[in-house]
Amino acid sequence: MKAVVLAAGKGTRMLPITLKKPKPLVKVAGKPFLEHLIADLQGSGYSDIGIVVGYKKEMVESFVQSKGWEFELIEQKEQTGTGNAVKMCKDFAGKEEFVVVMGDNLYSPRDLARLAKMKGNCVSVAKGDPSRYGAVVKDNGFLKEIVEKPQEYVSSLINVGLYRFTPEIFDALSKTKLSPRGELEITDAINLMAKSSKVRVLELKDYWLDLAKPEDIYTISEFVLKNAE
Amino acid sequence: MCGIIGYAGDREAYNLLVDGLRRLEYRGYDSAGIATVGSGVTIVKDIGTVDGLLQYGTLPGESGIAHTRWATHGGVTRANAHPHPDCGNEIAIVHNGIIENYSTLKAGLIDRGHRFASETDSEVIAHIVEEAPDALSGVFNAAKLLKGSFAFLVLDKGRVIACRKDSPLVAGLGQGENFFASDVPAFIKHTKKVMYLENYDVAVADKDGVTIYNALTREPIRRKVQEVSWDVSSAEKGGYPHFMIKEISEQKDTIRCAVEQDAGEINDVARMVNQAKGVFFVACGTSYHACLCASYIFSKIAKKHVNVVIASEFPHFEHFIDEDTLVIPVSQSGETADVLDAVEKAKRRGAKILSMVNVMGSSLMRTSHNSLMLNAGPEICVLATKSYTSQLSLLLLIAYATAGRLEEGRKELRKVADRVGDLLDNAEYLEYLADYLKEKEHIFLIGRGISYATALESALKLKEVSYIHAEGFAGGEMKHGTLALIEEGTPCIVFVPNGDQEVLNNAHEVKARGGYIIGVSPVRHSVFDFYIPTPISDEAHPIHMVVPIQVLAYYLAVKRGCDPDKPRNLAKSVTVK
Repeated sequence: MKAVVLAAGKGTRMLPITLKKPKPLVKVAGKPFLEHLIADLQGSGYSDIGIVVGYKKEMVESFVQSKGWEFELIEQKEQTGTGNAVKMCKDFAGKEEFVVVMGDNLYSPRDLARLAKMKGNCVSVAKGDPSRYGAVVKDNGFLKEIVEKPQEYVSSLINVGLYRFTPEIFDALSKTKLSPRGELEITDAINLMAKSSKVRVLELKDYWLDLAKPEDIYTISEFVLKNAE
Repeated sequence: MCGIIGYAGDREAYNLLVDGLRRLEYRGYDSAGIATVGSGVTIVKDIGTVDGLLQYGTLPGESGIAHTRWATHGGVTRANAHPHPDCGNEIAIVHNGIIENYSTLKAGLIDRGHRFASETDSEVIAHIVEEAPDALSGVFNAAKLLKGSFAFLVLDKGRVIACRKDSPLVAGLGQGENFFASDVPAFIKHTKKVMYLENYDVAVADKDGVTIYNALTREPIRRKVQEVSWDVSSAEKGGYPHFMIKEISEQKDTIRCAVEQDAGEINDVARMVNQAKGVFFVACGTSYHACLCASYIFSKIAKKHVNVVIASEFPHFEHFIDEDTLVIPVSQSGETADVLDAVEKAKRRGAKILSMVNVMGSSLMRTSHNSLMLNAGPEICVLATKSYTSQLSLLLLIAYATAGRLEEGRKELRKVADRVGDLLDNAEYLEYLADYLKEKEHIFLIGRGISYATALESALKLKEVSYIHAEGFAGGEMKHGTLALIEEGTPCIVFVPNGDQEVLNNAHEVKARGGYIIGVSPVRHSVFDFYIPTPISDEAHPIHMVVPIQVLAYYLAVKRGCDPDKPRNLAKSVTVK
């Protein structure tokens, strides 16, 4: 199964840690975050991995090389949204379905394996308060829409940024307009796709960890160390 | 901290082991010993340096193990030096680390008829291993039974078996010969091909190769072979350019070693603190700052008032001392003249002396009624870094014990060690801040409560190694004079461990006069011009907050062309009054 790791972002909320290294190389429990993520992917059925790089890409490249990983590195020259990052993966995906993982999120290998076994387009969700994230609204079991940072209650399912796509996503991306902040958002493309075809919703059974701010380093590290015991 | 090395190959082991030990002496140097296998196991060991062993002549055999000691359990005696044989003298072991449950294990082994020759925690390993039908199964059993931290080697006929948990151990792969050691310098002359062993790895080396097993599943596993690029001189600093940054980087491990102490001993000390009518902490320099922290810690956690006195000022307070007083001198080297002098005066008045030192057998330790070890390993750099966080960890542990909450404190401090590891792993950005600060003439530091002590210690670190004038204040004190020195761009480091509005107000006062605010805090406050993130902690923030400043001080020294290991005019151990 193919998987793409989005690891091009500047990591602004992680400043000042990201002054000297990109967020995927921020160390958690003694290892770069990316190493934890790759281990989870490799342990759950993903053998063909692509990494989208951008900010301080040379550092990610030399780390990948030092680990002896033979992954495809896909360059995103301008960090203009997650939609743009996925767009760069068209050649890597070819005609196959593929999974998209955020380079700063961790999921359980069990949930990753469940996603690998699904078919067609799919959005993963976790139960919780989605007001600071995207809220996933379902209709007859399939995705109706993703509402970014909803001000009013629309659902209690958080979009965790873990997707499975068919090559259909690239058509949707080419038809998606830029968001008000001038970025090509993957969620806009998914919403567009949901209008014409069925997008499944996978509810995670275990955990979802987001490395956003410096304080997350310590909580994720503690979780990882405990999990390893 | 001790150094261990093992060899299995086709050359005479003795000279290789002596040479390897010399390169590990930075890890400890109070005793040394070697065991080899010729027709049987032969051991030489003694107190003193590695060179002292040479008087016994060489040993025969093409495999062997060796040890250089920094005593933790059991005094500096020949019997306590490693290697330790089993009852039948068929195997020998060397160990680095601390075995927490050794007294329980030892009692069981004695019941089953084993004879112990030393007071060390390490010797239990030899006896556990000999109980199994073969040495390898014995090592598997030991890995399961031992609690604490360990890296140990077992010399078993022509082969060496290694096992580790939470103490360093690396295998070196040569041509027709293989090595194990605490650190690469021990064998770098012979091979640069290494395999770093992970927790619960058991590795067996003979001259043909190294096989690794998981100690718990007993299944064979593989570890990556890596090539180190160090030369011999940088190797003794563990690949770091200076001892200062090496010692700063060790703090995740040294904090653990400071808190993995015998519960009985810590509780005894807590009882002494509780029973004393007056408690005086006496120290100089960085150790004084640790004691100042302790005065806040004991007040908050143990609800106990303690006095803190600079050792050279102590004679002016001695009139308060009598036989019900507990004096706690704190010194890394245990040789500080001012501290020894204060202790003499206190003893003359009948006070009980409980010292905290890092050097076993030091003058301070010998003159004290009781002592606790920091277990930080040798600190070579003149600046105190790891010894400070070890002192703080041990003081926190005693405060928790004094409040009857020893295990809670230990659990919390183990987490602190992990968080310090995360902090250090992500500290490169401080180089950016050092670039900004390197041309500045003054740096001010403010903190309130226990962070006042953090401000003082941080100021000392910055000034003694970078020669930039740095001064720490209690947050409320700036406006009583020093605020006059704030100009456009004057840097001020503010410690905000728990969102204290008052110290944030002090930061605003400095900023309003043009100051550049560097905030050390678990939360990014809007007043900060530069943010140094630290973990959230109720009690252990003095440890978390000083670590990034140590790193900053190091970068500043290097960027300003100062020698971080040997600042001008200073000495490691101040033996003059």
